[in-house]
Amino acid sequence: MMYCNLQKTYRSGKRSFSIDIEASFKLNTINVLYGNSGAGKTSLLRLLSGLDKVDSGLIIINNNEWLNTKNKTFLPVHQREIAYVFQDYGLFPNMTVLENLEFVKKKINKVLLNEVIDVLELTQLLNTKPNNLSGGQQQRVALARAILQEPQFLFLDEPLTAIDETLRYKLQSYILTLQQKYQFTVIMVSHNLQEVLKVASHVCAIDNGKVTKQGDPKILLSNNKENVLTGIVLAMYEREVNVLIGTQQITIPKTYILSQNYIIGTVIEIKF
Amino acid sequence: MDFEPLLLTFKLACITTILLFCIAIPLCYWLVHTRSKIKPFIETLVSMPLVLPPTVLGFYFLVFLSPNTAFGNWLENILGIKLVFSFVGLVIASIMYSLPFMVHPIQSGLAALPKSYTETARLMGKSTWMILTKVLLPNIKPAILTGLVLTFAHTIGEFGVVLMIGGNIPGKTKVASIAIYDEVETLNYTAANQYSLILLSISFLILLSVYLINGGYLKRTIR
Repeated sequence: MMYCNLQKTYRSGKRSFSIDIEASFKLNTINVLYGNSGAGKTSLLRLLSGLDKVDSGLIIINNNEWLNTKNKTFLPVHQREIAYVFQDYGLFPNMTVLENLEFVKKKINKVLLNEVIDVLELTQLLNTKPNNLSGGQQQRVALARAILQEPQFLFLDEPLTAIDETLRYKLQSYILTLQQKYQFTVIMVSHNLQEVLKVASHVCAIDNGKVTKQGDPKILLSNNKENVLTGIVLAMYEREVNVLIGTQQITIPKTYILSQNYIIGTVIEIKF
Repeated sequence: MDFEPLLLTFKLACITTILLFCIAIPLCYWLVHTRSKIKPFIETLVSMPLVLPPTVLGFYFLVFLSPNTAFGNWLENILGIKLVFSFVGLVIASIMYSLPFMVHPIQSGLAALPKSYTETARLMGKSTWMILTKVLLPNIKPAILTGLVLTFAHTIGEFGVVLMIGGNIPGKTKVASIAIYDEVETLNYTAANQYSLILLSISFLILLSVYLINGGYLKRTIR
């Protein structure tokens, strides 16, 4: 189990944004930080990785302290065994794909290198520079490079945002396959509920810098309001919307839907 | 025409450019990554030569390094280093005077790179040296080229600082710009014109090469 209790206030001019989060993550599974844009998901990932300094807090992994501001424990970033795939992928433009992969370690694990190239279908791209790759290809290279670090933790910051639906589906499968194969702990940022339900074993919903729900991904579908259910939009017609509620698909008139914004894949509230 | 001032000018420009590059890289890395409160003061000091008359800078160097001050006295009598009216003093003054021309382009280049390059490399356990030499600097080649060329060209054109700190000692501190002034003073316009024409041509060619390389014109022609 990974436990964290972190406080941090980000200041930019007169604006400030506070994170006050107590959360736990399951090791050797896929955990997802779920929430809208600006909720604090990326900030939490950066605080966990040590890229941003906390104001106060604690991070414990199986009784090992990564961080404890009370006794001034701070495990340096590179000792946390984290591989991080950033939103912009962070591939080095001066190196080819192969050079990017080989840069990870002085003595690269050749067996793993060939395996990763094979699984992520990179053979044709090895001598290409990142700027000449599509978003999906860059994403695969970044994933491959992260896995070659042989990390204990794989942090993915909204890696599937800028990718079309078909490719996103394929990459979700890659992430699942890779996690099952190498058994690292994935903490992934996402604001797509379908994605969460597909890949996550554990979810931590964040809003305005605070945890609102955490546990099994299905908790995201529950709602405390009377006569209101939460569902995901699957398809939209002129007067009706096809919605997934729990495991059931139903088609309901638009008049039942509380929110005005029903884009495919988004969460909506339905009044009965 | 005496070629010594020209050779001395290029020697000064080469040494200044190389040393300033070595100083500017760690300084720029620090300026880009630091959140220290002294950063604005350092940035102001770096930019001072842009607005300060060269004679002012030269005057303070002259005063500060002369044997009449404690520091100058310590340098000359204890360490045996004479900086005023010497080539070494000229190099130090040139470095200070050309600082913004090297620092500004490189600092802008580094600041424009995504933070994720440095952070990814840090998470891999790479040292700052490795991050700089393998990741950051190779991705800001145009900025480095601009910094190198501007510093070189600016040092070639120095006059005020050189005159103040170096004087006019043939073979030691008499650079081309001083030689031109000398020739005009003695009404030898032909020699002044020869020096001027050479400096003008070289400065033009150097700047042209930067625009051609950074604008990608050479690559397009080769293709």
